[in-house]
Amino acid sequence: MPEGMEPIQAIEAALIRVAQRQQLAKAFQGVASGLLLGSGGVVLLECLHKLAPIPPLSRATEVITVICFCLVGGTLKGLKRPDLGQVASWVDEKLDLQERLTAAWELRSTGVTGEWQSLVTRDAATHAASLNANTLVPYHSPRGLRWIGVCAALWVVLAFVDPIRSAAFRGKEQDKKVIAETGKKLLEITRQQVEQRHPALESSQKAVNEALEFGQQLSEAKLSRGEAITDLASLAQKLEQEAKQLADRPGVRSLEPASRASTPTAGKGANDLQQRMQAMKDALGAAEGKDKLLSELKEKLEAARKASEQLPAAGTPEAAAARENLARALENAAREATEAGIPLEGLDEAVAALKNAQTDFFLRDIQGALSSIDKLQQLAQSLQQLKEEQAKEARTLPEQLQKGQAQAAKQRLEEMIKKLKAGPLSKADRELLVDELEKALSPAEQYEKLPEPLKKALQKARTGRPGDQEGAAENLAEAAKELDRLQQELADADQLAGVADLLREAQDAIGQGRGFQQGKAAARRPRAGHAGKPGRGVGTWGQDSNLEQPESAEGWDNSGLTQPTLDSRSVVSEDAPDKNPNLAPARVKGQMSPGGSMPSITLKGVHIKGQSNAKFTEAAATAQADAQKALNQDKVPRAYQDSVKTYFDDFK
Amino acid sequence: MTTEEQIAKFKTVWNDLRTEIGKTIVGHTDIVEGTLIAVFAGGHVLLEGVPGLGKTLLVRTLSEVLELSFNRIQFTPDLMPSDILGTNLVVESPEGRREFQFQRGPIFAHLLLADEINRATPKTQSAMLEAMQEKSVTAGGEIRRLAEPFFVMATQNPIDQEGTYPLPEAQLDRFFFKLVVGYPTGADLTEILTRTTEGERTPVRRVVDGASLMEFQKLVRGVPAPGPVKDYAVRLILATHPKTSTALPISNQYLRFGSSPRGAQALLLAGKVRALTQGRFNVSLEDIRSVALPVLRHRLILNFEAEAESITSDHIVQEILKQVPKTAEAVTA
Repeated sequence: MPEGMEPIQAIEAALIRVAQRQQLAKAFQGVASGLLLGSGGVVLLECLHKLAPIPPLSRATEVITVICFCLVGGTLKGLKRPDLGQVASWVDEKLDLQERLTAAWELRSTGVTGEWQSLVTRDAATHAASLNANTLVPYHSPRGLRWIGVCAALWVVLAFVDPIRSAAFRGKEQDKKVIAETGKKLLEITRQQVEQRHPALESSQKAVNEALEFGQQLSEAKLSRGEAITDLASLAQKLEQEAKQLADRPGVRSLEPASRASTPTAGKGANDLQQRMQAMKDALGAAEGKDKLLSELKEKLEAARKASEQLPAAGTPEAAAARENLARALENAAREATEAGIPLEGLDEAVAALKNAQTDFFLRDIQGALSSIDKLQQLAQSLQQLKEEQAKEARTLPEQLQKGQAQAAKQRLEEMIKKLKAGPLSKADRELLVDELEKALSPAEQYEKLPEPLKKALQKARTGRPGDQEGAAENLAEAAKELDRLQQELADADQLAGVADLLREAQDAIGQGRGFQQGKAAARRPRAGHAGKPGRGVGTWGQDSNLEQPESAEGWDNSGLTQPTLDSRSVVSEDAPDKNPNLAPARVKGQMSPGGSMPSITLKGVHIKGQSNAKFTEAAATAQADAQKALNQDKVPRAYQDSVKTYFDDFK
Repeated sequence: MTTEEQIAKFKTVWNDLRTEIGKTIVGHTDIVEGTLIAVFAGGHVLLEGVPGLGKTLLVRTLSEVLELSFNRIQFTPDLMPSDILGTNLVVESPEGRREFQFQRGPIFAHLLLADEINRATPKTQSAMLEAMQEKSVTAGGEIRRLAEPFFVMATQNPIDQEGTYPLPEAQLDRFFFKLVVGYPTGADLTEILTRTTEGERTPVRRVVDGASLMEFQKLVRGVPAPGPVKDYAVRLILATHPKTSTALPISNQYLRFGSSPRGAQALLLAGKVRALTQGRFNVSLEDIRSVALPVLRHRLILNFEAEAESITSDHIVQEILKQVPKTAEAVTA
């Protein structure tokens, strides 16, 4: 017993030591129990997941779960400090102290004093003094350690075991996945479209929203494959009908040819074209119209580069002489370019590098000069294209209306408005304006309400009074507005058709159980934007800005390339010099003779025994999707397209 | 005298008593100790054994080492209660008047040897019930207190012997201990032969008087018993109560009646004496366990099934000791 310590204090100190040790041991045991329970539970769940279609836990979740179990186990077991009376009993039993500590602690707790208390306490204290908590409560490996090991091993093994699932279940899961992925893609693309251009008409807005909602539904994989295909088909059909109704309106239909024009700048207006051309001219500078010189310079530089690769070995007099000759030739070329006002970056440096026998620098600099020439040539080519377009561009309102160039017509109307608002027109100007408006009335008939404001404007323009001039300007503004409305409707029609295409593609993807292939739809319906408004498939396939920026199309110019493998087989060109009518084939495989019978062969089908589990609606929807796909990809001859479409549309 | 000094004196007296008794009684250490424990606890002892095993000799020796008055009653089938308790006799006074006077029976002594108690009829046996529990005798409408300390040391032959009557349950319960005297070992028998057939009997000295004995009994009652120990004694007793929720299966199967609260009192008191004899100042679980057999064996009333299967109460007590856990935590766990 320590000196200066009362017997009961010595007993208490000893009991506290043992209690702390017990608490730690219990906490440790609790952690082990939690580990066993957690790992057992996780392994059980894993096994269940392998055997039954229950959602799996991620590895991280499993680890976190086991850790939580350990913490809870350790806390529950180790949180409560053992009662010292119980500890006393435990020590008595463990060390066979014949309840000495229990009696002493109980007498202390009950407050009994006297000789008996003193005797019992002193007797217990002598035994407590020799008490060693560490040997009394040793830390040993937890119970169930073997099972924890087994669980851990099972956990690792199960990671490499594939879940056991029926083929039907796998199929359903795959369908769900495809539906969800398709829904997500559909939602994403449709959202992009809506973000870039909100439908103008309320009905279009509603239809697009419906498609968005349906995309959301699909992404949540709440629908079965059959339902998804059927719903997609019906929604796509609905959108197509709406798009068709919009596009079939007389005013909108008149705008459509211009919107289908292949050139991206078609119908954008003369001013816009002029600005673009001016920008290109500024970039070309003195090189404009000197295509031949540029080609010559390029040839010279190419030749110099090739010659530099074949120079004799350095250090020899022959090499020095060859370099001198080459440098002289390049200096001449540089002088020629400078005199023509075409400075070529890097050419002077290339000459210097050549003179100093620095072949690496020479090649680098000459490549820079060649790149400059290439850029100038491309700019010149683009300028030429724009010039050709400018030639095609309608300049007067009647022509613009006739060609359906709504954007150009709007610009023309705005110019007229500006003139009318600027002040009284001279007689000549007024006559010109009246004449243009008169001529525009006839083509304007095809644009629904457009003739009315034009007629009013014409009447007021004829009078030449300042007040009427103002009124004419207002009428022309109304006309411009009407054109804008028609443009919006066309854009809506295009947008709806684009969304319908997406839905068809989604239907196709789900029907065939493959991923949503956005590119296929893009390839199928290549439509350029028109009139400054995004066209069909905005943000996906319709907005190819490279076509409008020649300088950025640098790396994709394959005009000079020929690919024999892409030549169409057995197709004889009309311009072929060796065309011989006797050599023309009567029937060509894969080609149709207009009006003739469709070549076909009969294939014996494979007999499949048993019953099909596919639903009729599902099969019909898939067949419709396949037919639509074939029609879209022009696999069906044009002559038969209508009948094929009608046949498959009857599947309802 | 301080408690510590009293305990020291108790130890001395205990050792002296054992030594003195050992001069006459060969072997049977547990019987001797059991008898002494009962003496210090103030309880009566029933010694059971076949004739000739030294039961009477033990009691006689005890009477010699204790400075107490001693009477012996030889129980016979024709023994009457008045032969034990005493009776009112008509006596003539010096004045010539005749009056009733109570003639005390042999029970009026500190130490009473009831030899072969089961040879008397149950009626006679029952005469001692009041004396054993109340330490008083009621005769002729008068209650007469017995001198204290008062002990009954009874001997009996196994009940299946000829001419014996089983003791009533109420009387059995009044015995603190029932000690079963077995046959001596070979060495003990040799020693017995030496002592009893050669030379003279070794005299024993008186070790303790009645007053000191009373003091020791008081000292014993002061020994603290921790809660878990009391709880264990209680659980042992409860385990013997058949057809209750605390009963063990063996109790339900073989017992008709379990131990009375006297059994629990006896367990604890005997445990206290044993603790002091072991040099401890508190009762331990082991004390309770070691005295459980003599305390409980005569308090368990066996049923027919036990009789039929020759299951003894000793066997049941031992099973109970095995099956009842030492700590209450183990019970709840």
